[in-house]
Amino acid sequence: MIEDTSSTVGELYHRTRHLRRWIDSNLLEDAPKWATRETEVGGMVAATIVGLVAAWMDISGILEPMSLWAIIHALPLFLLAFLFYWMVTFSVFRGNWRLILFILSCWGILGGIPVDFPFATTVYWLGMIISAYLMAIRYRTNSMVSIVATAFIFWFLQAFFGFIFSEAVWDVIWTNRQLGTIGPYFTRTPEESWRLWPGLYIAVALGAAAYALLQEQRRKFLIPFSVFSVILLLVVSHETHYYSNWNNEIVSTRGYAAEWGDPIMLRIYGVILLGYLVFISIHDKYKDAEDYIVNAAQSKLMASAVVGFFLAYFILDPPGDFGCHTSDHAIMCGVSPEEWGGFSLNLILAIAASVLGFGIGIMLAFGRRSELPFFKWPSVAVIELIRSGPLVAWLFIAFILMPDFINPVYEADSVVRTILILSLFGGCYIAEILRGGLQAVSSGQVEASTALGLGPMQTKLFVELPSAIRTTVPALVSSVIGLWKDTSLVYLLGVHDGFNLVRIMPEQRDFLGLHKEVYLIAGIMFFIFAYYLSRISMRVEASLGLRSETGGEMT
Amino acid sequence: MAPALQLPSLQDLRSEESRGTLIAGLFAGLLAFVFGQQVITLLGPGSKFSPSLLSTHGIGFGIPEIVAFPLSVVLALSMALFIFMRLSELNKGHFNPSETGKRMQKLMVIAALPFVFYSIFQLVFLIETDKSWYFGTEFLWERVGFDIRNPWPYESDLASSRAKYFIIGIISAVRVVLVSIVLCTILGIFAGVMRLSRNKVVSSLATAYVEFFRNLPLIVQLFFWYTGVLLALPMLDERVILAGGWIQLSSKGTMLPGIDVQNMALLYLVITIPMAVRIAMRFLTRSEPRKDPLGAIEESETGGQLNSLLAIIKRPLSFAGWRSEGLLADLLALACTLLFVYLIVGFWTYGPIMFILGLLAFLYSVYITFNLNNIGLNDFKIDETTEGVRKRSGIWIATLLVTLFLLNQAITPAQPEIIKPTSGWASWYYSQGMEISHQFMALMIGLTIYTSVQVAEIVRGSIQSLPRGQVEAAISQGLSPLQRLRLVILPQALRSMIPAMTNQYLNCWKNSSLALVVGYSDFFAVSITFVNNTGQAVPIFLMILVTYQSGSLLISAIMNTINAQVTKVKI
Repeated sequence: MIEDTSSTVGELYHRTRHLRRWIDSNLLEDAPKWATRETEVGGMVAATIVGLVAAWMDISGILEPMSLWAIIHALPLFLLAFLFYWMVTFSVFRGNWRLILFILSCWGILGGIPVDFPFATTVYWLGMIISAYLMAIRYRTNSMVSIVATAFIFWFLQAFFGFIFSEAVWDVIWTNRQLGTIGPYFTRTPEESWRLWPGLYIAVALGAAAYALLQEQRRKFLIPFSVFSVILLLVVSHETHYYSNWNNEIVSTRGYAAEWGDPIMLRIYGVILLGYLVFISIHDKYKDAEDYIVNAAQSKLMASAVVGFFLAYFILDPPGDFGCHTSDHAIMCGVSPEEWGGFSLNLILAIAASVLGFGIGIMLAFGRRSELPFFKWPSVAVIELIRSGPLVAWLFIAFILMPDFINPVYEADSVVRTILILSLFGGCYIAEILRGGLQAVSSGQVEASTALGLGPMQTKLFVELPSAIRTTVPALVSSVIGLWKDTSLVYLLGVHDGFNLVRIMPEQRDFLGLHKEVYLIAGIMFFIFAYYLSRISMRVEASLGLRSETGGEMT
Repeated sequence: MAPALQLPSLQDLRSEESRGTLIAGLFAGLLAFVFGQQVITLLGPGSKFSPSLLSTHGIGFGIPEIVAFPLSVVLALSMALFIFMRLSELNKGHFNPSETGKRMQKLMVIAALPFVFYSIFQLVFLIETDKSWYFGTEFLWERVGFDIRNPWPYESDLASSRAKYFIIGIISAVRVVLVSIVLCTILGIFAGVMRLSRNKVVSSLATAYVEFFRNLPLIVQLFFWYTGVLLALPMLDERVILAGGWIQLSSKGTMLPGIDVQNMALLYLVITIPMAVRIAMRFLTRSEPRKDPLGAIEESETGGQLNSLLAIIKRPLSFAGWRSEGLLADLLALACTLLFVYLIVGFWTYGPIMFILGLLAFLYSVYITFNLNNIGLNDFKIDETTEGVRKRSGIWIATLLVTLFLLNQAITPAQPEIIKPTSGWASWYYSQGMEISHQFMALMIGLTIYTSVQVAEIVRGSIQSLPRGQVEAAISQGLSPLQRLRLVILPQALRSMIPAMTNQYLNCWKNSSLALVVGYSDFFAVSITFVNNTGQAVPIFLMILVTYQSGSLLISAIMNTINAQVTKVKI
């Protein structure tokens, strides 16, 4: 076909061919037979103009008190409204009369048509059903579905953004930043809150080192990390004021000093600086290293992660109680785990439960597969017993019955008991996953390693287990995500975890009844880590070569 | 010949195996020290304020305190040494693997003995002294003393026994889990299929839905729905009215139209007509089975009397010939369904025994049909062309319209109506209409959405794992998108979906324990109150675990039957 690019219409038609093809295959249907270049181009231009005008009319009310937040509020809504009106107008120019009938009927049902006539509701409903049926039997439902879905998304986002930007009172979150992050004890006694910083430093250093050892381009880490640092600084230093009924005066939402030179900000600058330094130095050192050197470094990193975790734990609560009776807040006395709180406690619980659970799961998986009854029957009994009940039941059992067994041996407080029961619960699920993975290891591997002289323990650890873990990585990561989400349940044991504190924030006298904001923030906190872990899981799967996209689309 | 106990030489100590043996020995010694000390304390004389195992049984003497610590140290050291020496001897490799395994096992048993003794003695001690471990069942028949909402179909009575409340709790849990499972399957299949659509808007909507709800804990969702949405509904005077007054939402609950049955016979007709249409269509299109039906029991097989008895139970209608046997089986299923409905409606008249008999009859008729499916007598010549589909849709739409008309005659839906008393202390209340409490609604919505996103992921994964060639072959055959979905993709995807769906249904059943946080009285919440009231934690928790396990086994059994039906044909 000769592409006539001499005229404006022809030029536009040629320039927009990729866009038109994308629209035809993904959003709307193919052009009708009688469509010419003029109608197509004319339709697109008219649709653009109508879309811009109509969308502007729809969202101009939001921009009344103009501010940065108003723009952020209005922009997605503007884009969605533009898309909606564009699709409707373009369908008119495409001559899709069934779709026009459908849109008019829906508009009538929603009460948009001011003209009133007898049996209006019946006519509208009939029109909608008949036009939808006519489109369905010709398998041309793409436009209808796109338009309905866009309208639905617009309606939902309008309500959601309206809530977030206009109705919600976010002071409850800003005032309780410290409480939600580090718990009531550390908020009350700032003299002890220094204990939390080493853990954060260690975590950031380890994370930066792990990213550096991936040998990717520098900016793939530095750009997200910079964005994260900026957001962190903004969130920590943000200050608004509200009128407090409790104090009968205007109060600041920030109960700590966080101007640019204050101690807490200096510590955060230190964290960010540490992240940059560790990443850049390790990245430079291992940029062109061979695989085996990088693997050795990763093993060392894992070992230092375990050491770092215990170090952070013991800084928070040194073992024993030296100096607890002599003075308040002695360095070696520490803060007992019962006093920990906030979302940092959720992180600690999830990490400890995952690591311990992994160890327990490996032991139980091998025990279940062994032929010796001494190992097999207790493993089977434990796994089936723990998997028979929900986690809530086991948490209650840990709360009420575990002290009977454990207290004579070791006085465990509620947080330690929570970690134990979470790891036992997670361990049983991981054991089942690993059992499937171990079954998939070919017996030739085991026989070859025995022929080479490796003992049974060595065969299990160095031959079977790596194979099993590699096969079951997606299931393992999803069980770790499940453990992270399950840490929200520990409030039933009276542990001051993040969700518990967030739940009782609306009981403060200044913020009575603000439940929706508080649960949204709790949801966001859980969502961030779970989503991040699932992204990591996808990367690990891809790097292990486990992803295969077959089958694919079906409509 | 195996040498006896022999200390390993210094040469041997340097190898890695010996280091492992040393660590194992030390660990065994540590365990022996810790648990041995507890066992010795338990076996000590005890005092009034810290009784020991022996003192609670009236035995006045025991291992004296002075001896306790040195004795445990001696025990620990001897255990460590013993394990170390035996292990290093084993590691020398004088025995073949099975013998090594047996000896290792014996060593493990000995190393675990302090722990085992501690567990047994502590358990006996607890059962004797601790209230939580008291196994008496008198608490089940005592007066319960508190009230629960929505105990339908029973009445909530303060004087009921705890056993009755437990059963009411089980019925409540089954109610919410059944509704959630049905809804979440539908929603999940929709979302999973939508995720794979070519339409970018629809697929991004489905992806956003799945990703958002998958990463939120269930408890956050439940609290959001319960406290954030449902409890924040306006009061009765400003209630939300949907569908022209038929559905009303307020802080009191969700009111749905009440159902007033006027003509029971028409209701049976409503059940009968769709089933009769289905039976007729099956009869008209039933195809002749192959000459050798799979699994048919031949008369010439050995076995004699028992074999033919089994044959009669499995295929009681085999006298009718292939065309009518299926018809009779379907008619029998219809009759058993009607009987079962009749017995449900008259539950209080006929009692639970008849109800169970009716259920068994219904299950038997279903079993007969499944058996006929398995041996090939229920294969049909289905016209899958567009005209055939249109004809069949026409028949079914006509049936639907007739059924709806009859339903309209049989049942009068009653719009929820508020009575506003003008005198006395009474508050406004609803006179008719079906009330759904906020607790049930929040739990149901939360469970449905949470499980539906997992189901969506499973559906997506199983459809994506189909070989690409299947879809391409279906396209090249000229099948329309809907035909592709129904005839090629979903039947194959179903095979791989069902075990994973079973897992999600089990999770849904176990997640119903979160009824505790929204205040819905299922058996778990009620049992926790029992534990608080009686203090007998262990028997009650055992009851809870047994109930959850039975429910899980039941769900697994049902899903395995469906799985067997779906995987009849070997691919």
